[in-house]
Order: sequence, then structure tokens, then C-alpha cells
Amino acid sequence: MLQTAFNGLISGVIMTLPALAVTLLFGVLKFPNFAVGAMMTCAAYLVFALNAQLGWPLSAATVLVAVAFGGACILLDQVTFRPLRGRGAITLMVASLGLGFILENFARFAYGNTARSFAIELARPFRFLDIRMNREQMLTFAVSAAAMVAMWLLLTRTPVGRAMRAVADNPQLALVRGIESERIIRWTWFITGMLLAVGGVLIGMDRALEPPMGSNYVVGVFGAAILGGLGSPFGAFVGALLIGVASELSTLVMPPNYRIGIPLAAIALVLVFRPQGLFGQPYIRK
Amino acid sequence: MSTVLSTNGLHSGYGAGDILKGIDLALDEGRILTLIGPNGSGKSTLVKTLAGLLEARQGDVLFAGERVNGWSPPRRVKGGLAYVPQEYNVFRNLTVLENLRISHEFMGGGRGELLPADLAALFPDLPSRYGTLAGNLSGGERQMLALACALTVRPKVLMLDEISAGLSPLLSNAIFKTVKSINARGVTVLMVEQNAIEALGISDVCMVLAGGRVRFCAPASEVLGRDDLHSLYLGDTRETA
Amino acid sequence: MISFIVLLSIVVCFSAILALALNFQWGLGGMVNFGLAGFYTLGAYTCALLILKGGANTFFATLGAMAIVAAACALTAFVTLRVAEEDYFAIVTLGVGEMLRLVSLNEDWLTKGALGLSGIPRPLDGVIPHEIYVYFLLGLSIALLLGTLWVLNVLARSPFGRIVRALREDDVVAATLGKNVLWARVRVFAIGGAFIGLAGSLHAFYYQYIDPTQFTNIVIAYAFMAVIAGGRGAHAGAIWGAAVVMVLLEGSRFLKDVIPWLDSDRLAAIRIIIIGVGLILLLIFRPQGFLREHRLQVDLATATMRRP
Repeated sequence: MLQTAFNGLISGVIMTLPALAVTLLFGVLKFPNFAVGAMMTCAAYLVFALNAQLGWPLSAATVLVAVAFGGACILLDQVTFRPLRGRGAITLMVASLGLGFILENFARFAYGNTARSFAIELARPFRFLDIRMNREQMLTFAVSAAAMVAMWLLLTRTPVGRAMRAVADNPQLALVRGIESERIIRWTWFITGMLLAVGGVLIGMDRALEPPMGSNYVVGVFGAAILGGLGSPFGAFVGALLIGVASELSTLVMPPNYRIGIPLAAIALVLVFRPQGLFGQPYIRK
Repeated sequence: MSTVLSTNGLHSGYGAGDILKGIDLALDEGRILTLIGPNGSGKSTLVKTLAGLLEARQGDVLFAGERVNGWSPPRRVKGGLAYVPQEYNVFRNLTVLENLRISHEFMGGGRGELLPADLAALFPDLPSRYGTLAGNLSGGERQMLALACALTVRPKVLMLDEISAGLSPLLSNAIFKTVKSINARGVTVLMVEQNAIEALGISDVCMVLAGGRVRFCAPASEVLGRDDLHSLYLGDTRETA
Repeated sequence: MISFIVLLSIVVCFSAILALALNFQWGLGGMVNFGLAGFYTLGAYTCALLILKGGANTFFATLGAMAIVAAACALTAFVTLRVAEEDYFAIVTLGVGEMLRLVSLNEDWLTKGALGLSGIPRPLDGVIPHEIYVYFLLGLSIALLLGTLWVLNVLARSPFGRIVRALREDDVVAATLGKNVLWARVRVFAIGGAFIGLAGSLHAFYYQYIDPTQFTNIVIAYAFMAVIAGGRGAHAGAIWGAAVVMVLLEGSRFLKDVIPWLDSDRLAAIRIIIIGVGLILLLIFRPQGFLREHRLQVDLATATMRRP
């Protein structure tokens, strides 16, 4: 059971970055963005292209793709969501669904349906405290932790980060305090694009690369963000870990194919009984 | 005395139909103008239009000699037209310090003090609350913070939408004193108020709005002296106190 | 060629019924059903199973499917009665839809999982002569479509419809009204569900073989596109929209013949990309196609304020 809990922890750690991306996007753009799964997929395949096909080391490929993908997300936003700014949340959700279809199938078109993996050295798993782990998982911990720290610093110590929190808190007030919303939106996409790229690589390291790899995580990631409280970065972090561990532990009592039921149940319970989640603030939509 | 903020024939509204039906307003530099009128008369709408949150459908808005109709709210505030909304006027999930910092950073302040020294002196209680989340402040503290945030980069014009709303008479009094001091330090003020008597007490000019039109505009002292205050739609419930 | 048009028209008919159901739940009831694919799956499988395992005839199987999906929708709506925000409701329905889809995939003992169910008979198959059967099926589909349109229109204009519209307009009012009136929302969702079940049954009859891959989220893209393309207001718009969408999408299956050098996986991927692009373009360029939107209070880009 300890092994299961550990696996759940890894799964949760992998979800922290995309969960944070979801919550930041929701905070600033005010709608749940379903394209995040496919975005992770695309970024992971881009890294695959550099790493497995061009021979780059994984870390260098990830860094380059992360920055480039951040820029790509800004462009995607300009083309897809900007023309729809101010339209209702449903419109934007449907658009994000469409964007998700497009991105996932670009990957499918380019690489087909067979599973791929990154070109990394396969190290032998080791045991610690009677739990089986491997080097990739340690790397996942380290990368996610570093990303979390970086995000925390960004959100609390930089003007851009503060502005993102301000816009999430009160978009109208942000305007009359001099914050140009489009600029902040671009920054938000750049940052979440990077988070999603790294998240995609972590998924690709943990499992194989295949077109649905990112979408498979959408429900879990949203469950995490909603449980933690949409708009609360700390909540996304906690939510991801909780969902990850709970989902894995559930396989001890339920068929593993239904582990998606955990985030689904979390979503339903939270939205019905406590929409602001554990750490969120009830957003007053007038 | 130059006119720093003015409108002519201003129309605006939310949906079908205009709420403001042709407003002519002129605010002279260094003055305090108080806007009063019954609920629904368009007072808040006017201020929101001046701030740029609502588009002017007809007419001009002139600020510091320029026509600013096409200016976005951030551009207006960076140009010196500050605004304190009536509700949700602080970032509740940010601390007091972060609120001030963000206003300072984005309203055009460079390095340097969060508030100009002479204005900072008007908010002696703020520093002790720097670490508190703005959402946890009391009503009076929140209004003071909202006011301070608008002043972080000394504005030319400060627009207040019912700054005294929900405050006890004591706090209300304190806030009006603060506003008067702000004005004394060179900031032109435009106030929307339900609390007419007190507001007019510190004002230079009074403008009465009803049904989206200007009904009356005169020096404040003149308005205060009238017996038929009620007939001017003051709607002030504190009068009998 | 004629038979192709006939077959395509049948597909248009039940796709239109699906679009009408979405339109009803959302346009009238203000409840967006992102789980459409899952409920559609439920309808098709229920109908098929009632026939294959339950021995029912096609008529009762269809009724059964309609009842089951209506019940599932009613349950979903009941549980989420308190969720006032459109997008939160949409997320919950997405989750329910996903669960239903998973069940169809995993519960092999019931649904044969990925293998699917084959040999589904068509209504009155033995009775109508083989040569003219397709025309019968077309006629039946059209009749059912018109029936759906009539029923939903009658409901929309009834006092019931007015209550539901009032609830949709003003969440605050909705919150202060008692449970009795909120039940109207459950009923709307359930009624829409019944017609999703009908569409699912027709799907099963038409293809005579169903498996989980037929019911991916593309279904909801189709349905939304139909609703958007069709235009505001009248239900008839959704039918027109479904026709356009289906013709374009089913017609694009011919791409295979035009571009033989791409394998089917890649072609499928292109088709879905086209759907995605089409969906986004429709959203951007046909705003009047959307029946009801709650706009954000502040348009972030132009910084103007609008009342929701």
C-alpha cells in the first residue's frame, strides 16, 4: 500500500504543473480551458523531435521547447481566444475544446498513434524504505519542486505575478489601477505555456508519448485545480497531490480503469457543495 | 483657473437606451465637485464613463486639454485620472502592501516611495496593516486603502464613487477630512455622494443629477443654504440625525 | 448516388435530433450538456442491449433508451441543482459523460467493451421489403425529427417553458424560489435527455453496430456546430445547422479517395482538425448563432463594461 501511495504521490506531483496552469488561466481569463491536455501533448512531441530525432539531451530540449511553447501559446491565444474575449464562459470553453481537438490531432497527424518514448538512459530502479522508485521519478520531484518555487517567487515577488493575481482577483479594478489586461494575458499564456511544456515532458517520462497522453490528464488536472480552488495557486498544488494519491489508493478497492472517478467525484462534490474549493475565494460574477 | 476635466453632451449607458442623456460638466483645477442625485440618476454611470469603463456613445470627454474618448482605463489613470470605485475597490486577496505596490507600479510610479510624502502623511495607520490581506480589513480601513491606492502616483484628478458608503458618522467625517487634505495638496476631486450634507461641507461646487441630466450646478455653499434641499433630490437620510 | 443521399439524410436526421436536444437543454434551460457524448452512448447501448439481451422489439427498446437517458439526465440535474454557474455545470456534465463512456468501454460483461455490439436489427426490418427499406428508414427518421421539433416547440411555448426561461434569466430569482420551481430545471434536462436517447437509438439502428469509438467527444463538437451554425432562436435553425455540418463532415469521408497517399489514421486526424477549426471559426464569425450568453461584466480587451 505504501508503494501505491508513492505512485499516487508521483502522479500527483506530475499534475501540479498543469493544475497550476489551469488555475492561473482560469484566474486571469475567467474560463476553464480544456485545451491544456492537448497543449502538453504537443509540447511533449516537440521535445521528442529534438531529443529522440535530433539527438538533443532531454533537459536542453525541454528548456528550449518550454520557452518556444510559451511564445506559441501567446499566438494561439491571439488567434483563438482573443477574438472571443468578453464572450461567455461557454463560448470560450467550446473554443478551447475545439483547440484541443486541433492540437491533439496535429500530433496524431505528425507522429501517428504508436507510442513513443524519449531517448534517455534507462537507469535501474532502486528501493528506498521498501518502495520501488527510479531516477526519472526523482527528477520529476526535483523539477516540479523547482517549478513550484519559481512560480511562487514569480507570483509574490514580481510586478507581473502580482498583476496576474490582481487581475484574477478583480479585473475591473485592475484596469483602473493601470494594469493593461492584454499584456497580463500574454504573460499568463507565456508562463502557463512553459508550465504545460514541462508538464508534458514529465508525463512523457512517466508514461509513453501518444496523442491522447495529455487529454488523459485533463479530468484529473481539473479535479485538482477545482478541489484546491480555481484561482488559488497553492490550492492547485495541494489539490494535485490529493487527487494523485487518492486516485492511486482507490485502485486498491476499485477497478483501476475507474480511477478517473476520483477526480470526477471531487469535481462534483466541490462544485455542488463548496464551489470555491479548499483555498479559493468565491469569485463574485455579477 | 483652468478646466482640467470636462464633458459636453455626454451620452452613455449599458444596454438599450442611454442612462446619461447629454451631460455637460466642467471641473476646474484644484476644486472639489460633488455630484448628488437620487438613485438611478446616473451618478455612478457618469464616473465610470469618465474612468473609461463605459464607452461614451455620444459627446466628448476632455481631460487635461485632450479628448480622451478612445483612451482605455489604464491609459487614463496613467495620465493622471484616478478612480476609486464604490464596491470591490481593493484587491481582497492581496495584502495592503501589495495593493499599494501594484498601484504604484502600474499607475506609472518608478522607484521610490509608495506614496508621495505629503500624501502618505494622511494615512498614518496604513503601514501597521501592511501584512494584512485587504479582504480582512474593516470597512473604514478598506476605504482608506482604496483612497491611498489611487494616490500612489499623484493624480491630477481623483474621482470617488461614494467613498463614505457604509461608514459610521465618525469614520465618514474622517474620510471627508482626508479628502479635503488631499485636495489641499493639489489634487482636484470629483465625488459622487449620497451623504450630501457632509460632502457639500467640504466641496466647492455642487452638481445635481437626475434622470441622466444635469438639473442644477452651483457653488456648494449656495446649495447648502437652501431650504428646499429635499426638492433637489438629495436623498440624504442623515439629515434628521 | 441516390442511396448515398438517402443514407446521409438519415444521419442528418438523428444528428439533428441530438442538436435539438442540446439546444433544448441549453437554449431553453440554460444548462450546457458537455456530457452529450456519454448520454448519447448510454442511449445507443441501452437500445441495443434491450434488443440483443432483453429481447425487446425496436419500438420498446427505443422507448426504454429514452426513459433511461431521461432518468440519467434527471439524476445529473438533480444532483447539481445548486450549481448556478453555467461553466461549472458544464464541467460536471463533462465528468458524467466521461464516466458513462468509461462504463461502455470497461464493462465487457455488459457492453462487450471495445468489441462493441453488432447485429442490431432495424425497425420493421423483416416487414418492409428490402428494396425500399432505406426509404422507409428515411421516412421514419424524418417523422421522428419532425415529431421532436413539434414536441420541443410546444414545451418551449408552454407555461412550463416560461418558468424555465425565467429561471435561466435570473439566477438570483432562481435561488430564492423553492425547490418546486427548481424542479423545472430537472425536467428540462430530463426531457432533453429523452431525445438524446431517441437519437442514440436511431444511431444504433442505422449503423447496426456500435462501439465506444463512435462516441468520442467529437459528437459534442458536431452538436455545438449544428447549434451555432443554425442561428439564434428557432429550433429549426439547429436542424439546418445539423444538415450543413453533417453534409460537410460525412462528405469529407471522401477525402480518402482524393488523397490516397495518406493512411486512415492521418486522414481521421485531418478530419478532426477541420472540425476543430470549423468550430472555432463558427464561434468567432457567427456570434448570433449562439442563443444565450452571459457576457463577462468587463470585456477585458476593449475595457468596456457590459451588463451580463
